[in-house]
Amino acid sequence: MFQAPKHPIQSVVILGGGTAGWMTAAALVKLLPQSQLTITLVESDAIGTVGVGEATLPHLRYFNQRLGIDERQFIRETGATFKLGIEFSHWGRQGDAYIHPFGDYGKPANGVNFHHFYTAAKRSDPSLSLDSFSLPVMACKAKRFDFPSTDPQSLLSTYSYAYHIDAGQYARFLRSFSEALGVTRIEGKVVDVITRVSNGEVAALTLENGDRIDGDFFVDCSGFRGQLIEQTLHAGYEDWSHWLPCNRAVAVPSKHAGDPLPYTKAIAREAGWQWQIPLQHRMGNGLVYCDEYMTAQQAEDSLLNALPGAALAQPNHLRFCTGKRQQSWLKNCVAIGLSSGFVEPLESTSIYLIQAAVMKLIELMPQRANMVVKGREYNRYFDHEMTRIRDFLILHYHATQRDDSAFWRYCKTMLIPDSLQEKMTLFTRYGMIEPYRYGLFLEPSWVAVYYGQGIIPQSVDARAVAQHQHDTGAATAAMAELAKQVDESVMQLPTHAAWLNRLHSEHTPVPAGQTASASLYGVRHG
Amino acid sequence: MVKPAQMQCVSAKTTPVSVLVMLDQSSTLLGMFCAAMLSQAGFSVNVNKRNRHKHHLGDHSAVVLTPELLITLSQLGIEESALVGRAEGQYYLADRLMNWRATCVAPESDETLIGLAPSGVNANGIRFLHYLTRYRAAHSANLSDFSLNTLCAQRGVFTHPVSDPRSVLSTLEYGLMVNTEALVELLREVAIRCGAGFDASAKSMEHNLTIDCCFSDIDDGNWPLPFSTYRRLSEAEVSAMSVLPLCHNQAWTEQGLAQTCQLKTSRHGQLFGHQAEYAFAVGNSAPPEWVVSAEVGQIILNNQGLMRYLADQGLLFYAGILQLLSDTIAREAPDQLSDPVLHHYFNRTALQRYSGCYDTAMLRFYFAQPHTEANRRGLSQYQPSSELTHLFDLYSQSGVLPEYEHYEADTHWLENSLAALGQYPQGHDLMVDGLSEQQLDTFITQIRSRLNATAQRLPRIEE
Repeated sequence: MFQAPKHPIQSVVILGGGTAGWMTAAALVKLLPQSQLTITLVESDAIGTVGVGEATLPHLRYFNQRLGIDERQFIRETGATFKLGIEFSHWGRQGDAYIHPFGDYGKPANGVNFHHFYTAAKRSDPSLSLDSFSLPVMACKAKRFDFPSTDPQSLLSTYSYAYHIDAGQYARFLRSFSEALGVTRIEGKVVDVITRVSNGEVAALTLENGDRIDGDFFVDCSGFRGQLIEQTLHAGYEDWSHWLPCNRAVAVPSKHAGDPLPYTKAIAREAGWQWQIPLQHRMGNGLVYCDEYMTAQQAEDSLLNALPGAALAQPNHLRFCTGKRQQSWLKNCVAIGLSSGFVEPLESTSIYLIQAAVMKLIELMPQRANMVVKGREYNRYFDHEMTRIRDFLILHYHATQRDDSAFWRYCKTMLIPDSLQEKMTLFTRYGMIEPYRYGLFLEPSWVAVYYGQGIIPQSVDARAVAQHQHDTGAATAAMAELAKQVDESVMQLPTHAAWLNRLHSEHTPVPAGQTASASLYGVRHG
Repeated sequence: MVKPAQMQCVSAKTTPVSVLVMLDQSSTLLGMFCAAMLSQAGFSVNVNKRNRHKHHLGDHSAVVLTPELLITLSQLGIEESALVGRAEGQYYLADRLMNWRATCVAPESDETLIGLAPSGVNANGIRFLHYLTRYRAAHSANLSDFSLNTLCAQRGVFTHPVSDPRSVLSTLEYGLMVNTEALVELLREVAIRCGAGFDASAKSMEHNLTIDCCFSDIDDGNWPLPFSTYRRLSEAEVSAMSVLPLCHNQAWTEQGLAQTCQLKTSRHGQLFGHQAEYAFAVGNSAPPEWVVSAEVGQIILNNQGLMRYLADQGLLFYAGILQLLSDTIAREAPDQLSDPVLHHYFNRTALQRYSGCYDTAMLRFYFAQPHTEANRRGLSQYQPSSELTHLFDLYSQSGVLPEYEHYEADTHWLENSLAALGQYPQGHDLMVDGLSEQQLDTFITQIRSRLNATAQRLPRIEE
């Protein structure tokens, strides 16, 4: 008779609710055997959550699917709209705009990425636009949406989608989900953390009412303050503010002006940027800025003056320091969410990082004997993920020609990480993008930002140039055909507004066979 | 695996970068592969062959081509039919290890296979090995029992895999073992067709780029190998060895490690050891500076480290360094090749890939326990990198493998290799504990039954 091995880790305590806490609880209770593990979440209604993470990445669909969450129910519960990408305006120059899509551009040929062929072709035809070769970009511009095709041969399979959601509603939804499956929620404010004398591990939490919550393993979702990982265990923090100088945000919901768009907006402003996230019944708005260049009052006024519709609440001001914990997993505690670090939501990475952390924790769920090696692996993985995301965000700020404000002059001239400097030099001179196997933002994302912000390579891959010159007529015709296919495919899609209306109908299912994958791009060619 | 379209030789209207590829009789495969790849990519290539060594030190008489290499060759226009028809190509499904665990198991049991393809079936986002690890707590089972590749290799059966993921036959992956000289000739034909010249008098100074593939025996000790000598096995020696046709056979003997393979009409083998009486030694050397600016406007690529990688040229390409080279030097203007930023990128990336390839290859030697003291002594000098040490620790305690960017080998190859050497994790993913014992038993049994039933129906390869 099989006997389950005795797991010394028998109780997990999660400190903090919100999206991080309830995503952690939901995943642990759903995916791990409950006969061996008790899960307790401690949160205080008196402590507010940040509640600004509302735009997501396609990976969230995979998370929901693993938890068995029905997509229609999710959309209904969270007021979700669909998202095909992010529009960035005024980042390269005042007046410009581009979309970073959830999809690829064109098709590679003979191991050479499409953007080389595109750039070679554009030399003889300046009217060419990279946007024409991306189905999700063109769909965004046309305000259209449909679920991707499951046929890998179809052009309509070469993109993915995510959601705009009310993160607070998502957390509440996951709370109901988790409690129904056996998570114990305890209302209370933690006033003390007890550690073991022998090894410094966290042993228990003491609440304001005197209750003591014991645990074998702790997940710190307490937000920026990191009550366990930092205030108790002193993990240390790596400050990235010299590369990503924004340190404040102000957020306010408003009414819509028109139908919700199938993309997020990131609008560069004089000392930062403004987000617009369209939900079903309201618009999420926020301004991220650097307080060296703008006061809180100025930021609030600026945001309120730029709302698409009437404000629906008082502005909520936040302060943050971009960076990450030196160790997100320390002893018997792992920090998830804002307690592990923070990068601004420029590319909607906040909920993604929570998901990545949670799934990695589940994969590495420790026994006492292997805690050290698993913690080492978790930290290695998370460091890698965060550093690559950081570099990609820095690119947005540094790849600018703007010099119309002190903030942008700083961003344009600041020193950047060596890793990013090499990347930018290689692209600027040769159109080269280092291929990665792992990580969130792969070649299509870098192509989107480089070209979108006016960084055009001075030269490209000679094989692409040679192929173009070998038979310019055929190469031009092939490009035109691809652009035509994209255009025709997009025009067949329903409008985003029509899809949202259909979803309210009781009889409209989400198409079957939508297998979510851990990728931004759908099916990629090559 | 989807095969990309074959590349066409493209001659640019602008003046292409000119490349001199230097090789010798011990590096003809590497050099000719380089020449073919670059000439097809549109470079103006000249090949200069030097006669430096009396014996073939680096080039083996047969080479093992992985599935990825078959795709690369197909892109060069060398299809499977040519490899089978002209290079004695024999299908390659697994590595066969014999006498690798002499101190652990009985001699008659000391044989194991490492299949090319993933073993078992992942389910619910959990890798199969975790299910098997829990199953092994109460049952006897090996990972190789769940690999169609190893089952077919043991039985000597083969058919081409299908693309339908619902079919068990879609789980088969194969490479080819081919005659090196014939492959070199096929590559030479590609190079000539794409305009490469073979001018013995060609000089570096006449070209924008020189790629020196010549064999070298400089040793700086950074990439130690467990052997110091190498020789080809004689026909008589190879005939006397136990060989499974669909495998790359690797057996520890008194003299060292013998690698053998059966091609369509011939057997080939080489021996790595420590025999002082052999006249030529394989040096243990490193890739010191991959791209060194020797003179203004010239770059010399030194392949010393590649050649040291177990002196098995098939493995050279696992690191993908020639493809990296091709991507790096595919520049529109020759003067761009003197850019130190390009050099740095190539150096850094090539070294990362090489170190990952080295680690992956050395993994099996770390766990090897061959018979003789001399063999074990040679192995004991190898110390794994910190990345490999972390991999071992994590895997043995949890069954989880870290995702290293610079490890080109897929996770399943590492799992198959570790399991073949008796290295199973002590722990497994806790999500597996959600299954009852009966559910787990059914899951495992069904997979095993389907694989065995499929293998039993397949035709034997021609003897």
